[in-house]
Amino acid sequence: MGSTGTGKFTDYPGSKPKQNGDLTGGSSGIDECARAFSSRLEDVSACTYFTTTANIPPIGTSVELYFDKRIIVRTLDGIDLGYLPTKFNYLKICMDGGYIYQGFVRLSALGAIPVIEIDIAPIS
Amino acid sequence: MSSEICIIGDIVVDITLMNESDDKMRLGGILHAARCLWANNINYSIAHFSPEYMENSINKFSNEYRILDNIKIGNVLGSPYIFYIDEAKEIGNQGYNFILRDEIDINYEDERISNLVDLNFKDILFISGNYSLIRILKYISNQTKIHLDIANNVSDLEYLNQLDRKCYSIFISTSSILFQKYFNDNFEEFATLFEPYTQKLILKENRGGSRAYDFECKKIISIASQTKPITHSVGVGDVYDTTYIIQKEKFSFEESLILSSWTAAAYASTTYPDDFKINVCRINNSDIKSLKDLGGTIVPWEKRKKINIYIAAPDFDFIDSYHIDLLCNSLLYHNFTPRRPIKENGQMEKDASTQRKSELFSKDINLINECNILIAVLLNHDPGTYIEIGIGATKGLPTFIYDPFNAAENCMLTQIPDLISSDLDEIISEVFISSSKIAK
Repeated sequence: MGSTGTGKFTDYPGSKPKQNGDLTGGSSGIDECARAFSSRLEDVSACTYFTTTANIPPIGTSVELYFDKRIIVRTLDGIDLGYLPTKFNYLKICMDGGYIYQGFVRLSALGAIPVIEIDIAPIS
Repeated sequence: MSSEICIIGDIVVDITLMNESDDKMRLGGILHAARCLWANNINYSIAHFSPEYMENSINKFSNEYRILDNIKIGNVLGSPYIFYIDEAKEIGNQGYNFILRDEIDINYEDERISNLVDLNFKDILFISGNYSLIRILKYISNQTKIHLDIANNVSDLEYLNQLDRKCYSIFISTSSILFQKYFNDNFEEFATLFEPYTQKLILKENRGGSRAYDFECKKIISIASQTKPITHSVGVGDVYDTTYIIQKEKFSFEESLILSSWTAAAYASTTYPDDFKINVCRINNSDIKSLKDLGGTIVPWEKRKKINIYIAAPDFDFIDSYHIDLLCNSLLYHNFTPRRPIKENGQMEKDASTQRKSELFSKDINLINECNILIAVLLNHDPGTYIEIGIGATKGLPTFIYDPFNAAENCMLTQIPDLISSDLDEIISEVFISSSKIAK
């Protein structure tokens, strides 16, 4: 039975992958800031939309991200729906770098705890 | 052009054994710190111990990562200087294995070591390794600020007694032998042990943040981590140290450590240097006050023990418990307290009486009531596991499902929990994030 090799060092700045899809080179070609994502929002029951209407927005409502001590999801009219979980904190440096994020409510449900889930993508 | 910072220590090759998707070979040891200095556009040098066969690779690295002085100060014999890493993400114990460690012999290049004094570095970071720190330290200018990371290879405070001068900062991590040996659930008491040796002590607590003690003003600082699923954790602590050294003149102690935390998270999220550099640039251009406001995850080591985690699973003696053990060992590694009801309360006998069933039911319910988090492990269609998921979620416990075989399809099962994942790294990250809220 023959042996296999474990390759060579390839993570040099500016170098290109040898072929599409391999793991060599300086860049993955994927920018974390440019990726779309989905998330359930936190603290919906404490945010303006729910506290003022005792309701949740319908599926399809347009939303955007903005920052005020936390990353907040609000309607395009500026009404806060909830917060992004802290694992999305990295979006702050993306937003500071000029990224703007918008999306839609993908799921909303009133139960013992109001639930809102969103789909978000960078628009610029 | 002269270097502001020098990194001194071993250069090794990192090989990750359990890497499913990324079998990339990387030069490691102090070169993780080098990547950070390069990403920050800092003029820097390295002085290293390495085996001869790596010379061409290190020279190439040095050119590509713009190292001003690449000084080999010791030739390593007897070992290939290869690190086997069982698991790259520190989901649990990573199983670092330094091949032929006991055979290591170093031929010191004394002339090059004595010449280090002429280079007048503003800061030097020593990353502890297989070399003698004392032998080098006597050739370092008294004007140079000494920073020392003792996460590896240092097992006793006696090591620090040999130093003939006080460090500016000492870095240690919760996974180090020194921490395990001396920490007694009181950070201030622990930090005081280091007061004779350093002006500042920084304790890195993995995904649970970091704490620092400034002996001048006798103040504890807590820094949040930016916890999320990661690509790897190898060298991330060195990047944390290096960022602090880079930023300490421009920012306060606390602010520079916040930048350390963000930069370390950026390093853990990729093995591609250009991707890392883009994110370092973004971090450095962000408003530090906003990053501070944003916070993150803080779960001090000693508080984790009080986080009881109910393990809902078919943990019977006739079922292969590999995935349950893996989860529980990972939680224990991070100092959380997994509670395994069948192990604690007993396994129901095949012909159990109604009274016995009632007794076990009560004990398991009592155990859920003692817990702060519930994690279910889906191994088969065990009704007990499903019911416990429902109970946990109804009680408002953060409820996660570890589904190693991606078997869950039922909408109740997929929609009830706060997270369902086949990736243990994702589960452990969520435990830290939820615990941060519980521990507040």
